[in-house]
Amino acid sequence: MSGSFNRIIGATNAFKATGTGTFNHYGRKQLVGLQRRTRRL
Amino acid sequence: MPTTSTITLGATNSITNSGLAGVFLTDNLDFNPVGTTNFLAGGPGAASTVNVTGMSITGNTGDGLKVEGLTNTQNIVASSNTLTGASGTNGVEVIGGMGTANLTGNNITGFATGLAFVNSSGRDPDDEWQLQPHHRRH
Repeated sequence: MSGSFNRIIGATNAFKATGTGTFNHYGRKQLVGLQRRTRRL
Repeated sequence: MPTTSTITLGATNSITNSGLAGVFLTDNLDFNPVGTTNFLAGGPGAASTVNVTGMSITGNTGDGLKVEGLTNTQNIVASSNTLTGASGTNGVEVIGGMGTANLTGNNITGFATGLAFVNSSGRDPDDEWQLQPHHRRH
């Protein structure tokens, strides 16, 4: 699977892998940015 | 259906209130919702691709897009779609080592899980998933 420029809204879990499934997500910078923005508010 | 031809679903199509999945592509059709024909009797489905482009798939109580490849490659190429779950389980579910999904510019809203991988692997090479706050990642 590959992807780009998608939006996931309102999910309890954005990504979930079960069995032998795996998902490597490199979007940590974007997530950190969201968390910092929330703290400042 | 077993076919080597590419199937394309476009903006003039829409799917609402689906139960199992808005679109389900599999090479392992082990149930028959209409008759008694055993689709697996002739072997697994051939390698297939389904393009889903600019389509609205809403009100799902199951998956938005589901692709299962156990023997032959089953590929969903989804671009610019709106996938909305009512009590939907997975926005996109990929099952098996031969199931693949290429996703670009989709909005996936209201599912318990955005992307689910069952015995399948995925990666985000471009750091381009946009996640709204209050989401957890597994």
